[in-house]
Amino acid sequence: MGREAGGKEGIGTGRKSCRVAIVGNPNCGKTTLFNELTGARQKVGNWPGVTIEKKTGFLAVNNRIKAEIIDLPGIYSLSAYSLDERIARDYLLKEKPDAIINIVDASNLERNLFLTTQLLELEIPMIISLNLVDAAEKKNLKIDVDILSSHLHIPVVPTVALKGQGIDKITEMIGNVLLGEWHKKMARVRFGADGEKHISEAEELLHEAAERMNLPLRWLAVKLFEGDKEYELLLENKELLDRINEYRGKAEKMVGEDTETIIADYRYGFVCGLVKEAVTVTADIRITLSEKIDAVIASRILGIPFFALVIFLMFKISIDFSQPGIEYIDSRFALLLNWINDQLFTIGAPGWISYIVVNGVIGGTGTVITFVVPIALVFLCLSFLEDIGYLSRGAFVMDRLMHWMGLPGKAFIPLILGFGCNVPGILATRVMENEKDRLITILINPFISCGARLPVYIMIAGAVFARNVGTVVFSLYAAGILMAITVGLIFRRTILKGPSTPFVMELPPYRLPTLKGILLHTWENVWSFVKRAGTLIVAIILLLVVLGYLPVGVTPNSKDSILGKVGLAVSPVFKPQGFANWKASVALFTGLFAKEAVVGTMGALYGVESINPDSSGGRGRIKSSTLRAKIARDFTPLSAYSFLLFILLYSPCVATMGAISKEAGLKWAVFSVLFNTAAAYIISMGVFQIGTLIKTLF
Amino acid sequence: MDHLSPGERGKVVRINATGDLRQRLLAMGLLPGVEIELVRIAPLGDPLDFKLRNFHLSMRKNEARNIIVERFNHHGQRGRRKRRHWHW
Repeated sequence: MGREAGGKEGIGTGRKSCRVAIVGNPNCGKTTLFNELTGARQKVGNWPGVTIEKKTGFLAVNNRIKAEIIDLPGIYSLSAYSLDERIARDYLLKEKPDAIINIVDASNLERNLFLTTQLLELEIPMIISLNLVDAAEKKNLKIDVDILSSHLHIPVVPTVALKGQGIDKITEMIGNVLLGEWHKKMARVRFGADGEKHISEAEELLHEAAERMNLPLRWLAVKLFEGDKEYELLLENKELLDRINEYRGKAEKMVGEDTETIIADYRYGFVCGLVKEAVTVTADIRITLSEKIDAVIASRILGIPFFALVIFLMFKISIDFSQPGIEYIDSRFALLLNWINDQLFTIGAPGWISYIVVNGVIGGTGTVITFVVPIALVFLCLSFLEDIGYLSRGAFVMDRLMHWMGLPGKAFIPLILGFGCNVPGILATRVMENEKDRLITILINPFISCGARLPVYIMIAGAVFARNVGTVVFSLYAAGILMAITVGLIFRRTILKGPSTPFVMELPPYRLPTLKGILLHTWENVWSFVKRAGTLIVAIILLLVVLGYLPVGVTPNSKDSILGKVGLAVSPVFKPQGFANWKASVALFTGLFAKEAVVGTMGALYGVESINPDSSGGRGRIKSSTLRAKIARDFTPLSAYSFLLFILLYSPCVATMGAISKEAGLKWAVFSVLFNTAAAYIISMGVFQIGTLIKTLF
Repeated sequence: MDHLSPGERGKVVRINATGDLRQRLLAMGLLPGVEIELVRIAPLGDPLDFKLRNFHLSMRKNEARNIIVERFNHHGQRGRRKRRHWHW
């Protein structure tokens, strides 16, 4: 390796902190490599302005260099079409990291090296992590690393990131590169004699522009020659653009194919040539194990039943299995609450402080923590399915159905999870790539009737409908699904309009996941939920507790509290819906804590003893017969149904608000609260009014 | 390309897609001259699972329609793709 110091000035003097970006295709072990390099010292955030995850971490390269490692989104090329590609491209070209680790899948070299040919043009020092060499061996592919390295003029390190193989070597190589042991002449793809002529002519014209735009000259020339929309807009001198487009027009006329295709063809030509030289196929395998598995579980007959089984198990694990965990945490928290209450009493704290601290701060925290168990289990399942490669098969199987709703197949899992709880449902949209699709899936999720709403249906429908409770509950679930579909279609055509993204998805080979990877992924999601959604949830609960407590001296959450007064003041608003009683209004308020809190509140307000409508959802015992009779007195079947519809559709609970805010931003959480409440108001009103009309007519 | 039957192979002749889709297909190596096989159709009739360059790519019929392929005859005519020489 040449010893001339290329790249950035100053590298190699004293203790330095540098930035190294990991770039590669999706499904080639990029995140695993990132985890191996950075260990637990990671920071997860979002790229500015978007909800796409940004992961950074640190690697002590040697005693002189500490490198910040940036995990860029998985991409297939460096165009400016998809959001992921734009993020990666902007980072590489604007932030200019000190080095790139290009991770490529050794078992799928041809397609992976296409991106490499583009990275080579960025003039950033680069090494290749030739990952999954074990998978390549299983495919009977023998890869000559030296040939790859000498043809590309960059270091190539064979790795198996899953097993930690080759990581030390990568670290060492990165160290060398950062210390300046990198020669600037990386290989470059040549686009044929004619193409090179055109491109060098374009380069002549672009010297100044490239300098001003701070872009590598050849990269800019090639991209403009391909008709890259972003750079065309950025180029100030439109005269130059016309000249380049003139070359382009001529070239395209001559060949009868656009320059984008020709350039891509040359890149693939270069890659094919390289692969032919560096890779020997020792034995031809016509059908891989993955293909055999797919022939069964993605087949026409078994595809859907298998998917249903997977979803069922996931549901079972994340919702049912979490019950003991939730109950355990609940009981521990009850003990904690009592203990804190006692402590506050002994130190002589005023009653109102105890009440607010215990119910608001601690109770609110308790609510957040009870969500940790199901969220952790959902992500455990999701990470497993994603890492093993089944998630894309699920999308393949369900795509047709979801396409009808204007959504991609991957939207199915978040929506299904919503039946358990909307919070993990919304967090699960992380598996979706397209921003708008994801936003729609997040916003329609609260309409999917979650498990917490079921007790409310049972209590009220049970009190009012006597024999048809099952039908009523079923109709509510159906109404929720219908609403989700309708609103999704409306959003797709209005506020989130956009060309529906083309569905072109790789079906990666199945791979054994690692426990470490899955646990890390799960931990990240749980922690970020606690940190970011948790704060909002506790804040809102605190507010409602305070409103229920004041003014000092009244029975909490009674008619005389601020909350009760607000309920009284608000209740006339619900006259068109047929439930203009203050108890219902207050229950709707407390239902914001958690939808099942409606049960506790109704119980408390309808004067059943031993109910504490606290923030943990008021899981008190209810003497149901008396309660039912009292509720039945206040509702007609029609007003009860209208009330139930309202509960189904109105503002998501605080936990869901927190999740939306975390995933899509506070703006969309507020939007969701307002939109859903308005929709609930209008729909319940419609149902009640039409029902009343029909009753008077017959 | 949506007219192939499962198991049938062909050679890409032309890509009529534009914009985003075209770019994605190019990046995936779906270029004129490349061999492609329709492996299976999803249970509900869409999307399709194709194999090219030793990996699997799924796309909807709607997208596949934009890719014109020349079907191989029954004997499974194979043969290496010849490098093109563009004169531009």
